[in-house]
Amino acid sequence: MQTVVIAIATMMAVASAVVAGSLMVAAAAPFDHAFAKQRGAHLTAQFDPARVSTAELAATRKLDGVTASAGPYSSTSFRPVDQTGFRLPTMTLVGRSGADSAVDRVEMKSGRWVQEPGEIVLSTSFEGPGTEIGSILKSTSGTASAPALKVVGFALSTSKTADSWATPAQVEAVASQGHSVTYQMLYRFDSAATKHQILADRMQLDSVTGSAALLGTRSWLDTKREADQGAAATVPFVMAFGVLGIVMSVITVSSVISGAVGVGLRRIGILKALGFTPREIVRAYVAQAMVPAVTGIILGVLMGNVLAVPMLADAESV
Amino acid sequence: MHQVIELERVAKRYDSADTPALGPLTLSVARGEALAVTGPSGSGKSTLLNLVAGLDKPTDGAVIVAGRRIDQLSQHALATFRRAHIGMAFQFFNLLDDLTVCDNIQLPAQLTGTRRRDSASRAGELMEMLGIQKHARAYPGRLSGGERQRVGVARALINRPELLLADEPTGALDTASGHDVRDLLMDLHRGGQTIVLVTHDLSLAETVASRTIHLIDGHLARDTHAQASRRACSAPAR
Ligand SMILES: Nc1ncnc2c1ncn2[C@@H]1O[C@H](COP(=O)(O)OP(=O)(O)OP(=O)(O)O)[C@@H](O)[C@H]1O
Ligand SMILES: [Mg+2]
Repeated sequence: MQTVVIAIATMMAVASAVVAGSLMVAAAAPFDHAFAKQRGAHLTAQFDPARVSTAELAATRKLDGVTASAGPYSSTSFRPVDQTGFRLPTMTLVGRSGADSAVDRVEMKSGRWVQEPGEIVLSTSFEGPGTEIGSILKSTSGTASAPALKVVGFALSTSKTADSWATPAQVEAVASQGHSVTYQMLYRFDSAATKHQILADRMQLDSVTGSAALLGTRSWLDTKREADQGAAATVPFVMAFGVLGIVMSVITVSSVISGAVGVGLRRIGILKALGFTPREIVRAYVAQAMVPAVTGIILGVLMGNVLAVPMLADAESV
Repeated sequence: MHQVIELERVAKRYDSADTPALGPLTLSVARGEALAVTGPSGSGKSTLLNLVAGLDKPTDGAVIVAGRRIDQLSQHALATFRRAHIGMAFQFFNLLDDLTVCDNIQLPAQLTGTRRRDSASRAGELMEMLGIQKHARAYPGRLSGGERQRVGVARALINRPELLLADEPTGALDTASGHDVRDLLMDLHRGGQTIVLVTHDLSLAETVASRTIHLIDGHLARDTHAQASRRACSAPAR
Protein backbone atom coordinates (compact mmCIF):
# COMPACT_ATOMS: atom_id res chain seq x y z
CA MET A 1 0.00 0.00 0.00
CA GLN A 2 2.63 2.47 1.10
CA THR A 3 4.73 1.25 -1.78
CA VAL A 4 2.07 2.31 -4.28
CA VAL A 5 1.60 5.68 -2.59
CA ILE A 6 5.32 6.41 -2.74
CA ALA A 7 5.48 5.42 -6.39
CA ILE A 8 2.47 7.51 -7.44
CA ALA A 9 3.40 10.56 -5.40
CA THR A 10 6.95 10.68 -6.72
CA MET A 11 5.69 10.04 -10.24
CA MET A 12 3.23 12.94 -10.19
CA ALA A 13 5.69 15.30 -8.56
CA VAL A 14 8.53 14.46 -10.91
CA ALA A 15 6.22 14.72 -13.91
CA SER A 16 5.04 18.18 -12.95
CA ALA A 17 8.61 19.25 -12.22
CA VAL A 18 9.67 18.09 -15.67
CA VAL A 19 6.77 19.91 -17.32
CA ALA A 20 7.38 23.07 -15.31
CA GLY A 21 11.11 22.86 -15.93
CA SER A 22 10.86 22.42 -19.67
CA LEU A 23 8.19 25.11 -19.85
CA MET A 24 10.60 27.46 -18.11
CA VAL A 25 13.45 26.54 -20.39
CA ALA A 26 11.28 27.10 -23.42
CA ALA A 27 9.81 30.31 -22.05
CA ALA A 28 13.17 31.67 -21.01
CA ALA A 29 14.45 31.35 -24.55
CA PRO A 30 11.60 30.52 -26.91
CA PHE A 31 13.52 31.86 -29.85
CA ASP A 32 16.76 30.08 -29.06
CA HIS A 33 14.92 26.84 -28.53
CA ALA A 34 13.06 27.00 -31.84
CA PHE A 35 16.10 28.39 -33.65
CA ALA A 36 18.26 25.49 -32.55
CA LYS A 37 15.55 23.00 -33.45
CA GLN A 38 15.14 24.42 -36.95
CA ARG A 39 18.87 24.88 -37.46
CA GLY A 40 18.08 28.49 -38.19
CA ALA A 41 20.19 30.67 -40.47
CA HIS A 42 22.76 32.84 -38.69
CA LEU A 43 22.97 34.95 -41.82
CA THR A 44 20.48 35.28 -44.67
CA ALA A 45 22.19 36.82 -47.70
CA GLN A 46 20.72 38.18 -50.93
CA PHE A 47 22.95 38.10 -54.00
CA ASP A 48 22.51 39.81 -57.36
CA PRO A 49 22.27 37.01 -59.98
CA ALA A 50 23.83 39.30 -62.57
CA ARG A 51 26.95 39.87 -60.52
CA VAL A 52 27.63 36.50 -58.98
CA SER A 53 28.41 33.19 -60.57
CA THR A 54 27.21 29.78 -59.42
CA ALA A 55 30.86 28.91 -58.82
CA GLU A 56 31.31 31.90 -56.52
CA LEU A 57 28.19 30.99 -54.57
CA ALA A 58 29.47 27.46 -54.26
CA ALA A 59 32.78 28.85 -52.98
CA THR A 60 31.03 30.77 -50.20
CA ARG A 61 29.69 27.48 -48.87
CA LYS A 62 33.24 26.21 -48.36
CA LEU A 63 34.49 29.25 -46.46
CA ASP A 64 36.22 28.76 -43.11
CA GLY A 65 33.73 28.91 -40.31
CA VAL A 66 30.72 27.98 -42.42
CA THR A 67 29.25 24.90 -40.74
CA ALA A 68 26.18 24.55 -42.95
CA SER A 69 24.58 26.36 -45.85
CA ALA A 70 21.58 26.22 -48.14
CA GLY A 71 20.62 27.83 -51.44
CA PRO A 72 20.84 29.50 -53.79
CA TYR A 73 17.09 29.93 -53.71
CA SER A 74 15.60 32.37 -56.16
CA SER A 75 13.68 34.99 -54.29
CA THR A 76 11.57 38.00 -55.10
CA SER A 77 9.05 40.24 -53.45
CA PHE A 78 5.46 40.83 -54.44
CA ARG A 79 2.29 42.30 -53.11
CA PRO A 80 -0.70 39.99 -53.39
CA VAL A 81 -4.43 40.69 -53.07
CA ASP A 82 -6.81 38.11 -51.69
CA GLN A 83 -10.16 37.06 -53.16
CA THR A 84 -11.98 39.94 -51.47
CA GLY A 85 -9.59 42.41 -53.05
CA PHE A 86 -7.78 43.10 -49.79
CA ARG A 87 -4.17 44.07 -50.41
CA LEU A 88 -1.73 42.19 -48.26
CA PRO A 89 1.62 43.76 -47.34
CA THR A 90 4.60 43.24 -49.60
CA MET A 91 5.99 39.76 -49.11
CA THR A 92 9.24 38.07 -49.89
CA LEU A 93 8.66 34.94 -51.93
CA VAL A 94 11.33 32.25 -51.96
CA GLY A 95 11.49 29.29 -54.29
CA ARG A 96 12.13 26.10 -52.38
CA SER A 97 11.20 22.65 -53.50
CA GLY A 98 10.93 21.37 -49.91
CA ALA A 99 10.55 22.61 -46.35
CA ASP A 100 13.51 20.63 -45.08
CA SER A 101 17.01 21.90 -45.64
CA ALA A 102 20.47 21.86 -44.11
CA VAL A 103 19.76 25.34 -42.76
CA ASP A 104 16.35 26.74 -41.84
CA ARG A 105 14.20 23.64 -41.60
CA VAL A 106 10.88 25.35 -42.16
CA GLU A 107 8.20 23.77 -40.02
CA MET A 108 4.77 23.06 -41.49
CA LYS A 109 2.04 24.18 -39.11
CA SER A 110 -0.86 23.21 -41.36
CA GLY A 111 -1.43 22.01 -44.88
CA ARG A 112 1.50 20.82 -46.97
CA TRP A 113 4.51 22.15 -48.90
CA VAL A 114 4.13 23.43 -52.49
CA GLN A 115 4.27 20.72 -55.13
CA GLU A 116 3.66 22.57 -58.39
CA PRO A 117 3.46 26.08 -59.79
CA GLY A 118 0.28 27.86 -58.79
CA GLU A 119 0.69 26.94 -55.14
CA ILE A 120 2.03 29.01 -52.27
CA VAL A 121 2.87 28.41 -48.63
CA LEU A 122 2.55 31.40 -46.32
CA SER A 123 4.26 32.20 -43.08
CA THR A 124 1.93 31.55 -40.15
CA SER A 125 1.90 35.26 -39.35
CA PHE A 126 -0.36 35.79 -42.41
CA GLU A 127 -2.93 33.24 -41.35
CA GLY A 128 -6.34 34.80 -40.81
CA PRO A 129 -9.76 35.32 -42.29
CA GLY A 130 -9.46 35.66 -46.08
CA THR A 131 -6.14 33.85 -46.14
CA GLU A 132 -6.74 30.23 -45.31
CA ILE A 133 -5.78 26.98 -46.93
CA GLY A 134 -7.51 27.00 -50.33
CA SER A 135 -7.58 30.81 -50.62
CA ILE A 136 -6.42 32.28 -53.91
CA LEU A 137 -3.90 35.13 -53.91
CA LYS A 138 -3.09 37.24 -56.94
CA SER A 139 -0.01 39.21 -57.63
CA THR A 140 -0.98 42.88 -58.00
CA SER A 141 1.39 43.85 -60.72
CA GLY A 142 -1.75 44.57 -62.65
CA THR A 143 -1.77 42.54 -65.79
CA ALA A 144 -4.44 40.02 -66.57
CA SER A 145 -1.86 37.27 -66.76
CA ALA A 146 -0.85 37.82 -63.13
CA PRO A 147 -0.48 34.32 -61.76
CA ALA A 148 -3.07 33.12 -59.27
CA LEU A 149 -1.56 31.35 -56.27
CA LYS A 150 -3.50 28.87 -54.18
CA VAL A 151 -2.56 28.73 -50.48
CA VAL A 152 -1.72 25.10 -49.67
CA GLY A 153 -0.12 25.47 -46.26
CA PHE A 154 1.20 27.62 -43.44
CA ALA A 155 4.73 27.27 -42.21
CA LEU A 156 7.04 28.76 -39.62
CA SER A 157 10.62 29.81 -40.24
CA THR A 158 12.19 30.91 -36.98
CA SER A 159 14.93 32.75 -38.83
CA LYS A 160 12.21 34.55 -40.87
CA THR A 161 13.97 33.89 -44.16
CA ALA A 162 10.77 34.50 -46.13
CA ASP A 163 7.11 35.49 -45.87
CA SER A 164 6.03 32.91 -48.42
CA TRP A 165 7.36 30.04 -50.46
CA ALA A 166 6.58 28.65 -53.90
CA THR A 167 8.25 26.35 -56.39
CA PRO A 168 11.39 27.88 -58.01
CA ALA A 169 9.60 28.05 -61.38
CA GLN A 170 6.72 29.96 -59.80
CA VAL A 171 9.11 32.50 -58.32
CA GLU A 172 10.53 33.17 -61.77
CA ALA A 173 6.99 33.58 -63.13
CA VAL A 174 6.05 36.10 -60.41
CA ALA A 175 9.27 37.98 -60.97
CA SER A 176 8.68 38.19 -64.67
CA GLN A 177 5.77 40.49 -63.80
CA GLY A 178 8.29 43.23 -63.19
CA HIS A 179 9.96 42.28 -59.92
CA SER A 180 13.64 41.54 -59.68
CA VAL A 181 14.95 38.12 -58.72
CA THR A 182 17.74 37.70 -56.22
CA TYR A 183 19.51 34.65 -54.94
CA GLN A 184 19.00 33.79 -51.29
CA MET A 185 21.76 31.94 -49.47
CA LEU A 186 21.45 30.70 -45.88
CA TYR A 187 24.50 30.13 -43.69
CA ARG A 188 25.33 28.79 -40.27
CA PHE A 189 28.72 29.68 -38.80
CA ASP A 190 30.75 28.21 -36.00
CA SER A 191 31.06 31.65 -34.43
CA ALA A 192 27.99 33.82 -34.70
CA ALA A 193 27.24 34.81 -31.14
CA THR A 194 27.99 38.54 -31.43
CA LYS A 195 27.38 41.34 -33.88
CA HIS A 196 31.10 41.51 -34.40
CA GLN A 197 31.43 37.86 -35.37
CA ILE A 198 28.49 38.14 -37.78
CA LEU A 199 30.13 41.16 -39.38
CA ALA A 200 33.35 39.22 -39.85
CA ASP A 201 31.40 36.37 -41.40
CA ARG A 202 29.75 38.79 -43.79
CA MET A 203 33.09 40.28 -44.81
CA GLN A 204 34.23 36.82 -45.80
CA LEU A 205 31.28 36.49 -48.16
CA ASP A 206 32.11 39.90 -49.61
CA SER A 207 35.65 38.83 -50.29
CA VAL A 208 34.48 35.91 -52.42
CA THR A 209 31.68 37.51 -54.38
CA GLY A 210 32.67 41.19 -54.37
CA SER A 211 30.66 43.67 -52.35
CA ALA A 212 28.53 44.74 -55.30
CA ALA A 213 27.11 41.24 -55.66
CA LEU A 214 26.00 41.05 -52.01
CA LEU A 215 22.80 43.04 -51.98
CA GLY A 216 21.94 42.63 -48.34
CA THR A 217 22.09 40.40 -45.31
CA ARG A 218 19.96 39.75 -42.29
CA SER A 219 21.58 38.64 -39.04
CA TRP A 220 19.83 36.14 -36.77
CA LEU A 221 20.69 38.47 -33.87
CA ASP A 222 18.23 41.05 -35.21
CA THR A 223 15.53 38.43 -35.69
CA LYS A 224 16.19 37.19 -32.17
CA ARG A 225 15.93 40.66 -30.69
CA GLU A 226 12.56 41.24 -32.34
CA ALA A 227 11.28 37.83 -31.27
CA ASP A 228 12.44 38.27 -27.67
CA GLN A 229 10.77 41.66 -27.43
CA GLY A 230 7.51 40.05 -28.47
CA ALA A 231 7.84 37.27 -25.94
CA ALA A 232 9.10 39.43 -23.08
CA ALA A 233 5.67 40.24 -21.68
CA THR A 234 4.66 36.64 -21.04
CA VAL A 235 7.98 35.43 -19.69
CA PRO A 236 7.56 36.55 -16.05
CA PHE A 237 4.20 34.79 -15.79
CA VAL A 238 5.39 31.53 -17.24
CA MET A 239 8.47 31.76 -15.03
CA ALA A 240 6.37 32.33 -11.92
CA PHE A 241 4.21 29.31 -12.70
CA GLY A 242 7.25 27.23 -13.53
CA VAL A 243 8.96 28.10 -10.25
CA LEU A 244 5.75 27.37 -8.37
CA GLY A 245 5.37 24.00 -10.05
CA ILE A 246 8.93 23.02 -9.26
CA VAL A 247 8.80 24.24 -5.67
CA MET A 248 5.58 22.34 -5.07
CA SER A 249 6.88 19.13 -6.52
CA VAL A 250 10.12 19.43 -4.54
CA ILE A 251 8.03 19.80 -1.39
CA THR A 252 5.89 16.81 -2.34
CA VAL A 253 8.81 14.57 -3.15
CA SER A 254 10.78 15.56 -0.09
CA SER A 255 7.86 15.03 2.27
CA VAL A 256 7.03 11.68 0.73
CA ILE A 257 10.66 10.63 0.85
CA SER A 258 11.20 11.88 4.39
CA GLY A 259 8.02 10.12 5.44
CA ALA A 260 9.33 6.97 3.87
CA VAL A 261 12.72 7.51 5.49
CA GLY A 262 11.05 8.14 8.86
CA VAL A 263 9.14 4.89 8.60
CA GLY A 264 12.27 3.33 7.16
CA LEU A 265 14.47 4.53 10.03
CA ARG A 266 12.14 2.96 12.59
CA ARG A 267 12.23 -0.23 10.58
CA ILE A 268 16.00 -0.09 10.28
CA GLY A 269 16.24 0.23 14.06
CA ILE A 270 14.02 -2.81 14.52
CA LEU A 271 15.89 -4.90 11.97
CA LYS A 272 19.20 -3.92 13.52
CA ALA A 273 18.05 -5.00 16.96
CA LEU A 274 16.92 -8.33 15.53
CA GLY A 275 20.42 -8.94 14.20
CA PHE A 276 20.15 -7.91 10.55
CA THR A 277 23.60 -7.03 9.18
CA PRO A 278 23.94 -3.63 7.50
CA ARG A 279 23.91 -5.35 4.12
CA GLU A 280 20.73 -7.25 4.91
CA ILE A 281 19.10 -4.02 6.07
CA VAL A 282 20.01 -2.24 2.85
CA ARG A 283 18.52 -5.10 0.89
CA ALA A 284 15.30 -5.02 2.90
CA TYR A 285 15.14 -1.23 2.70
CA VAL A 286 15.68 -1.09 -1.03
CA ALA A 287 12.69 -3.34 -1.54
CA GLN A 288 10.63 -1.26 0.85
CA ALA A 289 11.14 2.31 -0.32
CA MET A 290 13.71 2.70 -3.05
CA VAL A 291 12.09 0.50 -5.66
CA PRO A 292 8.79 2.42 -5.65
CA ALA A 293 10.53 5.78 -5.40
CA VAL A 294 12.83 5.07 -8.32
CA THR A 295 9.96 3.59 -10.33
CA GLY A 296 7.99 6.76 -9.63
CA ILE A 297 10.85 8.98 -10.71
CA ILE A 298 11.35 7.10 -13.97
CA LEU A 299 7.63 7.09 -14.78
CA GLY A 300 7.43 10.76 -13.80
CA VAL A 301 10.22 11.76 -16.15
CA LEU A 302 8.59 9.84 -18.99
CA MET A 303 5.16 11.27 -18.25
CA GLY A 304 6.54 14.78 -17.84
CA ASN A 305 8.21 14.60 -21.23
CA VAL A 306 5.11 13.22 -22.89
CA LEU A 307 3.07 16.08 -21.42
CA ALA A 308 5.69 18.71 -22.10
CA VAL A 309 6.07 18.02 -25.81
CA PRO A 310 2.62 19.20 -26.98
CA MET A 311 2.68 22.10 -24.54
CA LEU A 312 6.02 23.26 -25.83
CA ALA A 313 4.96 22.90 -29.44
CA ASP A 314 2.31 25.51 -28.69
CA ALA A 315 4.74 27.70 -26.80
CA GLU A 316 7.21 27.78 -29.67
CA SER A 317 4.84 29.02 -32.32
CA VAL A 318 4.03 32.07 -30.19
CA MET B 1 29.61 -18.94 38.28
CA HIS B 2 29.51 -18.23 34.57
CA GLN B 3 29.04 -14.55 33.77
CA VAL B 4 26.77 -13.67 30.86
CA ILE B 5 27.62 -9.98 31.00
CA GLU B 6 30.86 -8.39 32.13
CA LEU B 7 31.33 -4.65 31.89
CA GLU B 8 34.78 -3.35 32.80
CA ARG B 9 35.01 0.39 33.46
CA VAL B 10 32.58 1.01 30.63
CA ALA B 11 31.78 4.62 29.78
CA LYS B 12 29.62 6.11 27.07
CA ARG B 13 29.80 9.75 26.12
CA TYR B 14 27.60 11.08 23.31
CA ASP B 15 29.19 13.51 20.85
CA SER B 16 27.53 16.65 22.14
CA ALA B 17 27.65 16.00 25.88
CA ASP B 18 30.46 17.05 28.20
CA THR B 19 29.71 14.45 30.88
CA PRO B 20 29.31 10.76 30.04
CA ALA B 21 25.73 9.46 29.77
CA LEU B 22 26.95 6.31 31.46
CA GLY B 23 29.79 5.23 33.69
CA PRO B 24 32.53 4.50 34.13
CA LEU B 25 30.73 1.39 35.29
CA THR B 26 31.88 -2.10 36.26
CA LEU B 27 29.22 -4.76 36.47
CA SER B 28 28.76 -8.46 35.93
CA VAL B 29 25.58 -10.43 35.51
CA ALA B 30 25.62 -14.17 36.14
CA ARG B 31 23.81 -16.80 34.17
CA GLY B 32 20.23 -17.19 35.35
CA GLU B 33 20.12 -13.80 37.01
CA ALA B 34 17.18 -11.47 36.39
CA LEU B 35 18.63 -7.99 36.72
CA ALA B 36 16.36 -4.98 36.95
CA VAL B 37 17.85 -1.60 36.03
CA THR B 38 15.99 1.33 37.55
CA GLY B 39 16.69 5.03 37.68
CA PRO B 40 15.24 8.38 36.73
CA SER B 41 14.69 9.39 33.14
CA GLY B 42 17.99 10.18 31.41
CA SER B 43 20.05 8.23 33.95
CA GLY B 44 21.54 5.99 31.24
CA LYS B 45 19.40 2.86 31.44
CA SER B 46 18.77 2.53 27.71
CA THR B 47 22.37 3.47 27.02
CA LEU B 48 23.48 0.56 29.20
CA LEU B 49 21.13 -1.81 27.41
CA ASN B 50 22.30 -0.66 23.97
CA LEU B 51 25.93 -1.24 24.93
CA VAL B 52 25.16 -4.76 26.11
CA ALA B 53 23.20 -5.44 22.91
CA GLY B 54 26.07 -4.14 20.80
CA LEU B 55 23.76 -1.55 19.27
CA ASP B 56 26.12 1.14 20.46
CA LYS B 57 29.84 1.19 21.28
CA PRO B 58 31.35 2.40 24.54
CA THR B 59 33.73 5.34 24.54
CA ASP B 60 35.86 3.47 27.08
CA GLY B 61 36.12 0.05 28.68
CA ALA B 62 35.32 -3.49 27.67
CA VAL B 63 31.94 -5.11 27.06
CA ILE B 64 31.97 -8.90 27.28
CA VAL B 65 28.74 -10.75 26.56
CA ALA B 66 28.37 -14.53 26.50
CA GLY B 67 32.12 -14.81 26.86
CA ARG B 68 32.82 -12.66 23.83
CA ARG B 69 34.33 -9.18 23.81
CA ILE B 70 31.89 -7.28 21.61
CA ASP B 71 32.90 -3.63 21.85
CA GLN B 72 35.43 -3.95 19.06
CA LEU B 73 33.48 -6.13 16.64
CA SER B 74 32.52 -4.93 13.16
CA GLN B 75 28.88 -4.09 12.44
CA HIS B 76 28.55 -7.32 10.51
CA ALA B 77 30.07 -9.46 13.26
CA LEU B 78 27.92 -7.67 15.85
CA ALA B 79 24.77 -8.42 13.87
CA THR B 80 25.53 -12.13 13.62
CA PHE B 81 26.49 -12.19 17.29
CA ARG B 82 23.30 -10.39 18.30
CA ARG B 83 20.95 -12.62 16.34
CA ALA B 84 22.45 -15.72 17.92
CA HIS B 85 22.89 -14.64 21.55
CA ILE B 86 20.58 -11.75 22.37
CA GLY B 87 16.82 -11.30 22.31
CA MET B 88 15.31 -7.86 22.75
CA ALA B 89 11.85 -6.68 23.79
CA PHE B 90 10.82 -3.04 23.64
CA GLN B 91 8.40 -0.62 25.21
CA PHE B 92 6.57 -0.11 21.92
CA PHE B 93 6.97 -3.74 20.80
CA ASN B 94 8.71 -2.86 17.49
CA LEU B 95 6.83 -5.49 15.52
CA LEU B 96 6.81 -5.28 11.74
CA ASP B 97 3.25 -4.35 10.82
CA ASP B 98 3.35 -5.95 7.39
CA LEU B 99 4.21 -9.41 8.71
CA THR B 100 1.84 -11.76 10.52
CA VAL B 101 2.40 -12.59 14.19
CA CYS B 102 3.85 -15.94 13.21
CA ASP B 103 6.23 -14.41 10.64
CA ASN B 104 7.32 -11.71 13.07
CA ILE B 105 8.24 -14.34 15.61
CA GLN B 106 10.14 -16.43 13.07
CA LEU B 107 12.12 -13.57 11.53
CA PRO B 108 15.23 -13.89 13.75
CA ALA B 109 15.23 -17.66 13.18
CA GLN B 110 15.35 -17.10 9.44
CA LEU B 111 18.39 -14.87 9.92
CA THR B 112 20.30 -17.66 11.64
CA GLY B 113 19.38 -20.02 8.80
CA THR B 114 17.08 -22.22 10.87
CA ARG B 115 14.97 -24.45 8.65
CA ARG B 116 11.46 -23.14 8.17
CA ARG B 117 9.91 -26.30 9.64
CA ASP B 118 12.01 -26.07 12.81
CA SER B 119 11.40 -22.35 13.30
CA ALA B 120 7.66 -22.84 12.74
CA SER B 121 7.45 -25.54 15.39
CA ARG B 122 9.51 -23.45 17.83
CA ALA B 123 7.25 -20.46 17.12
CA GLY B 124 4.21 -22.67 17.70
CA GLU B 125 5.65 -23.76 21.04
CA LEU B 126 6.28 -20.17 22.12
CA MET B 127 2.85 -18.96 21.03
CA GLU B 128 1.30 -21.82 22.97
CA MET B 129 3.34 -20.98 26.04
CA LEU B 130 2.47 -17.25 25.79
CA GLY B 131 -1.19 -17.88 24.94
CA ILE B 132 -1.18 -16.13 21.55
CA GLN B 133 -1.48 -19.13 19.21
CA LYS B 134 -4.97 -18.07 18.10
CA HIS B 135 -3.45 -14.88 16.63
CA ALA B 136 -0.74 -16.63 14.64
CA ARG B 137 -2.13 -15.52 11.26
CA ALA B 138 -3.21 -12.05 12.40
CA TYR B 139 -1.28 -8.85 11.79
CA PRO B 140 0.14 -7.03 14.84
CA GLY B 141 -2.09 -3.99 14.24
CA ARG B 142 -5.13 -6.00 15.29
CA LEU B 143 -3.71 -7.12 18.65
CA SER B 144 -3.99 -5.52 22.07
CA GLY B 145 -0.90 -4.01 23.67
CA GLY B 146 -0.42 -6.96 26.02
CA GLU B 147 -0.74 -9.43 23.15
CA ARG B 148 1.71 -7.47 21.06
CA GLN B 149 4.24 -7.47 23.87
CA ARG B 150 3.91 -11.25 24.14
CA VAL B 151 4.58 -11.47 20.41
CA GLY B 152 7.62 -9.25 20.97
CA VAL B 153 8.90 -11.52 23.72
CA ALA B 154 8.24 -14.63 21.63
CA ARG B 155 10.26 -13.10 18.81
CA ALA B 156 13.06 -12.29 21.28
CA LEU B 157 13.14 -15.90 22.47
CA ILE B 158 12.89 -17.76 19.15
CA ASN B 159 16.64 -18.35 18.87
CA ARG B 160 16.93 -19.42 22.56
CA PRO B 161 19.22 -16.47 23.36
CA GLU B 162 21.54 -16.56 26.37
CA LEU B 163 20.34 -13.10 27.24
CA LEU B 164 16.93 -11.44 27.11
CA LEU B 165 17.00 -7.64 27.18
CA ALA B 166 13.77 -5.76 27.84
CA ASP B 167 13.49 -1.95 27.81
CA GLU B 168 10.34 -0.83 29.65
CA PRO B 169 8.36 -3.86 28.44
CA THR B 170 5.31 -2.79 30.47
CA GLY B 171 5.76 0.94 29.86
CA ALA B 172 3.01 1.14 27.23
CA LEU B 173 0.60 -1.35 28.82
CA ASP B 174 -2.38 -1.02 31.15
CA THR B 175 -2.12 -2.60 34.60
CA ALA B 176 -3.70 -5.94 33.65
CA SER B 177 -1.56 -6.44 30.55
CA GLY B 178 1.43 -5.27 32.54
CA HIS B 179 0.78 -8.03 35.04
CA ASP B 180 0.59 -10.60 32.23
CA VAL B 181 3.99 -9.54 31.00
CA ARG B 182 5.32 -9.50 34.56
CA ASP B 183 4.13 -13.10 35.05
CA LEU B 184 5.68 -14.08 31.74
CA LEU B 185 9.05 -12.64 32.75
CA MET B 186 8.85 -14.39 36.14
CA ASP B 187 8.18 -17.71 34.40
CA LEU B 188 11.12 -17.16 32.08
CA HIS B 189 13.39 -16.35 35.00
CA ARG B 190 12.23 -19.45 36.83
CA GLY B 191 13.06 -21.43 33.71
CA GLY B 192 16.67 -20.21 33.94
CA GLN B 193 16.56 -17.37 31.39
CA THR B 194 19.06 -14.58 32.02
CA ILE B 195 17.19 -11.30 31.85
CA VAL B 196 18.11 -7.62 31.98
CA LEU B 197 14.99 -5.56 32.54
CA VAL B 198 14.96 -1.78 32.36
CA THR B 199 11.98 -0.31 34.14
CA HIS B 200 10.60 2.66 36.01
CA ASP B 201 8.21 0.37 37.82
CA LEU B 202 9.76 -0.54 41.18
CA SER B 203 7.13 -3.15 41.96
CA LEU B 204 7.81 -4.87 38.63
CA ALA B 205 11.53 -4.80 39.44
CA GLU B 206 10.89 -6.26 42.90
CA THR B 207 8.65 -9.10 41.70
CA VAL B 208 10.61 -10.17 38.65
CA ALA B 209 14.23 -9.45 39.47
CA SER B 210 16.67 -11.40 41.56
CA ARG B 211 18.80 -8.27 41.67
CA THR B 212 18.21 -4.59 41.08
CA ILE B 213 20.64 -1.83 40.21
CA HIS B 214 19.72 1.81 40.44
CA LEU B 215 21.41 4.35 38.15
CA ILE B 216 21.67 8.07 38.75
CA ASP B 217 23.39 10.26 36.17
CA GLY B 218 25.03 7.22 34.64
CA HIS B 219 26.49 5.98 37.90
CA LEU B 220 25.63 2.94 39.96
CA ALA B 221 23.79 4.39 42.97
CA ARG B 222 22.58 1.12 44.47
CA ASP B 223 23.06 -2.58 43.79
CA THR B 224 20.93 -5.01 45.84
CA HIS B 225 23.33 -7.79 44.91
CA ALA B 226 26.28 -5.93 46.41
CA GLN B 227 24.24 -5.04 49.50
CA ALA B 228 23.15 -8.65 49.89
CA SER B 229 26.68 -9.96 49.67
CA ARG B 230 27.98 -7.26 51.96
CA ARG B 231 25.27 -8.26 54.44
CA ALA B 232 26.18 -11.88 53.93
CA CYS B 233 29.85 -11.16 54.58
CA SER B 234 29.35 -8.89 57.53
CA ALA B 235 26.65 -10.98 59.23
CA PRO B 236 28.96 -13.53 60.94
CA ALA B 237 31.12 -10.73 62.35
CA ARG B 238 28.25 -9.32 64.34
N1 LIG C 1 21.77 9.06 20.65
C1 LIG C 1 22.02 9.94 21.62
N2 LIG C 1 22.72 11.06 21.34
C2 LIG C 1 23.00 11.97 22.29
N3 LIG C 1 22.61 11.85 23.56
C3 LIG C 1 21.92 10.75 23.92
C4 LIG C 1 21.58 9.76 22.96
N4 LIG C 1 20.87 8.79 23.60
C5 LIG C 1 20.78 9.17 24.89
N5 LIG C 1 21.40 10.35 25.10
C6 LIG C 1 21.53 11.04 26.38
O1 LIG C 1 22.13 10.18 27.29
C7 LIG C 1 21.52 10.27 28.54
C8 LIG C 1 20.99 8.92 28.98
O2 LIG C 1 19.96 8.54 28.09
P1 LIG C 1 19.20 7.16 28.19
O3 LIG C 1 18.31 7.05 26.99
O4 LIG C 1 20.17 6.08 28.41
O5 LIG C 1 18.32 7.40 29.47
P2 LIG C 1 17.21 6.45 30.11
O6 LIG C 1 17.67 6.20 31.46
O7 LIG C 1 16.94 5.31 29.22
O8 LIG C 1 15.97 7.43 30.13
P3 LIG C 1 14.41 7.06 29.97
O9 LIG C 1 13.98 6.52 31.27
O10 LIG C 1 13.79 8.40 29.69
O11 LIG C 1 14.30 6.12 28.83
C9 LIG C 1 20.43 11.31 28.42
O12 LIG C 1 20.94 12.53 28.90
C10 LIG C 1 20.18 11.39 26.95
O13 LIG C 1 19.80 12.69 26.59
MG1 LIG D 1 15.26 4.66 28.03
